[in-house]
Amino acid sequence: MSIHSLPPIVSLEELENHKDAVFCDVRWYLDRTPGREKYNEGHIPGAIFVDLDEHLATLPRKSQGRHPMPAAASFAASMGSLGISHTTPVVAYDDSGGMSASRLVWMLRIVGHNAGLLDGGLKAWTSDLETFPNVRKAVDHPIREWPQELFADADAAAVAGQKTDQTLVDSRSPDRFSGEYEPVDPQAGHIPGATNLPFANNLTSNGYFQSPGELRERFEGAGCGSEQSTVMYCGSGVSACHNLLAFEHAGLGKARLYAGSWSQWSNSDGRPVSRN
Amino acid sequence: MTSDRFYFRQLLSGRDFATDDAMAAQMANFVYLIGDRETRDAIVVDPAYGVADILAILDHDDMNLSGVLASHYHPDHVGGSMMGHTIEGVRELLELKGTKIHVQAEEADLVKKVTEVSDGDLEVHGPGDHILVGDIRIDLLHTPGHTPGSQCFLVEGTLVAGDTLFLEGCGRTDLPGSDAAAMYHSIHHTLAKVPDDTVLFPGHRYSFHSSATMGMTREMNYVFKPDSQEQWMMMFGQ
Repeated sequence: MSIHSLPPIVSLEELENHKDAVFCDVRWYLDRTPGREKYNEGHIPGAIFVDLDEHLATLPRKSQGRHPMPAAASFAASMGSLGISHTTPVVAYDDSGGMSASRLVWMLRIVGHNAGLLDGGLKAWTSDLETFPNVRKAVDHPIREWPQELFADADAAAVAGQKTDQTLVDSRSPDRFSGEYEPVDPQAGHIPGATNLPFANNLTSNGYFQSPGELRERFEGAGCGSEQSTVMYCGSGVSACHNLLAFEHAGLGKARLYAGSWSQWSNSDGRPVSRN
Repeated sequence: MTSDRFYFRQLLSGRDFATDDAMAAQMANFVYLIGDRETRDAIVVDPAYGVADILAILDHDDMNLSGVLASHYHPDHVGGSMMGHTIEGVRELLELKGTKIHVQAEEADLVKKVTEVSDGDLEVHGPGDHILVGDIRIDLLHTPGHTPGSQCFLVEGTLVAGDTLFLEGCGRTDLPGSDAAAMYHSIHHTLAKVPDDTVLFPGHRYSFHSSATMGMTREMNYVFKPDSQEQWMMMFGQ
């Protein structure tokens, strides 16, 4: 890693060495509050707004889930339209502990882009916020294919839940995992064999990430092997990216994402569901 | 699999070029730049509104213009007069940079009439032709329906579709020169050969998303619902 490479989780202090990084505001809310409105009310100076639904996903549908991955060519076109070239360092944030901003950072990092998640999110920025919307001039952004080895489909997720040398991690809250509460999807519960590691528990009580050592203990304590032996999912392949970045931050490498996640699994006929 | 050499840019009128042009913003046309990063050759698809801006973007990317692809003759794609407005297009582009305009044979006279370019400015093609931009091959698919010589461009896993197919819906078939039955054939036969993982890049931004795979489009777009020409004509015929 070069001195100019951003770590998956980056502190505001570390950004002193990355003055050329572009802040991306990726605020998004499950209750449909428009993130762009929050951005317009105040954002980190210089930040551009990135829309999770528009730029980081393609149309939702039952067969693919709520936030299917966009085609590589679509993502490249979106990044180019936002003024992000393949050499533009990106630091993403939100105000939900990194839940939505993680998706942008993970998508960029898996194609070799220099990107990190701002530790602490918007509240780490204690200086004045800016309300003027920033627009960067559109630029060339080459298409880079998604590395298939970092994705799992529903069948691969099912296998990961059953095989002893693989681990399937559900990143949702414990009540959704257990099936006690299901706000959006047609069935409550989880994929058989999954282990529940809520993404929010990557953070300490003050909203900052645990240390890499603590995160490593968290994942290894749950039986996660390194790299692609671990598959992460959540509701729609968004908050799982928080776990994927924490996993990499812990020095465990790049795990796999089941992008369809519970929103696809629970809409599929004949997929088994566990509740406990 | 996309080649590392593949240069591809999607530009939105009124946002990425012609930014002071209210009509360009309202019409939401997409212009595409397609080229070979190694040889630095590039073509532009449907240059209109702000051709100097488009050439400046190519210059900035250190790409050399080697041709124009016209999806069809309408002035929001190639320039000319429309709804009382005069739109810049291929004629102004040729004045700035001499090059050829690739058109389907059925569209040649229409392009000449609307833009006032001459026969010598056109490179006329038939269905099944392809062109090379550097070493990047672009297949020209003749897809009549919206206009007689409408064409789509298939290149490196992308389909640049002009006004033949959008993410939602297709080009109008109630205009002079349109043909609903031909559109059925273009969408349900000619474009049926395009793989599901090919990414559709339309001629306008008429949807929330700016591009989508053909697989997704086939699943979601109502123009794929009719399973016979008879059903199609009930929906789109006059």
